[in-house]
Amino acid sequence: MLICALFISLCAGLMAQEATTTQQQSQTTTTTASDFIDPYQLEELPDSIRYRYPLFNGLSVSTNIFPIALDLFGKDYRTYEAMLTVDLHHRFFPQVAVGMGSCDYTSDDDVRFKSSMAPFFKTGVVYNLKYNALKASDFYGIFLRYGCASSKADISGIHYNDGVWPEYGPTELTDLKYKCHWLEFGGMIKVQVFDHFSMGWDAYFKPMLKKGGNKHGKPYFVPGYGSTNTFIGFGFHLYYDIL
Amino acid sequence: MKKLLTLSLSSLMLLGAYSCGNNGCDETRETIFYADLRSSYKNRQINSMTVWYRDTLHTTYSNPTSFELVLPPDSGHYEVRIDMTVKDDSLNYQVSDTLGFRYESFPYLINMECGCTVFFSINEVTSTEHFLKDITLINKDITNEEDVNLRIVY
Repeated sequence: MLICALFISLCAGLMAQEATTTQQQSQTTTTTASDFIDPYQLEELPDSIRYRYPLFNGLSVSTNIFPIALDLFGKDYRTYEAMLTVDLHHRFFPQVAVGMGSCDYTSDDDVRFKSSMAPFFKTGVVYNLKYNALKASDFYGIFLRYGCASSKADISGIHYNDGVWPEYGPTELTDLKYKCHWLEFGGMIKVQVFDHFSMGWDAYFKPMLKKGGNKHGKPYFVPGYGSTNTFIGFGFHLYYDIL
Repeated sequence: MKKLLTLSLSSLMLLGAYSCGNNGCDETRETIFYADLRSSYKNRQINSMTVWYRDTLHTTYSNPTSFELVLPPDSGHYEVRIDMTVKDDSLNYQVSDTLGFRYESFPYLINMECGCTVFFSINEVTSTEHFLKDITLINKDITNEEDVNLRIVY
């Protein structure tokens, strides 16, 4: 709710700023019309122009191929993600992502964590640190995202030896439910490779807001989050500009 | 082409850094029941204490101020006999009491590096009162954290 409210207030603020900027631009036009110089093409923008790019500056879809690469390199979980990003003034990039993830991992101790395909959702905003740069195709920025996921898992091969009593197990737990919420904040780079096609990576911290554990413990894997044994995440994204 | 190469190289570095991460296990799997012993008289103390499960010696303590128990990992009822040598002013004598626990156990996944353990939830603690005066269950959950579960006053 907080993130939604922030997002709405951000959009409202941007709209208001756009109205002011347009007003300022029309005043500038009357004083500089005879020069035939497009101020938006200048390396340094005049003070009267706040944004080089319009409020709605584009729409892109992207996918994170880093988890797929990890899967190829032997990680036992997979995640498929699609993200929609709106470009506002080339400064703010609100994002919405949906995806699915699953895991089938057996530890050295023969404990098996098997999570079936389950959905996740992420939303957030990227802030472009060079939003008024003349070259719009490449940028680097910082971002904040919120993610949530709901999943089920089976754990088998559970055993325990306390050194006093006979060994407990092996036994299994089925249909364990986990609901998790987390944040992602970090930095990212995006470069245009071809027309409408860009690539980039991001690196971020991903603190858990709610790890969603139950009396049998916390999940090893969360869809959209990955393995819970690390608070650092990476992504390698392919972008396609729709508009 | 240069961009693509730079991106590919940086991505490979990221992949390498991510793959090299090895978190290991930094948590204990031991789940131990801790009991605190407190004397109600200044000059009364337990010189030695032996904990028996049925006729099997569990543990022996000298001048204990606390003791530990490892509960059987299956839910149920567990009873221990505690034999104590007590010094009361200048008088030495031997006493015995029995502690009983009714509890539930459940398997717990610490994480995939550490593996699993068994946690307990104590429903009831009973005691004979030959020597022990009062028992208070402070924390009914027995986990891999070193929390005191029971306070015993003698």
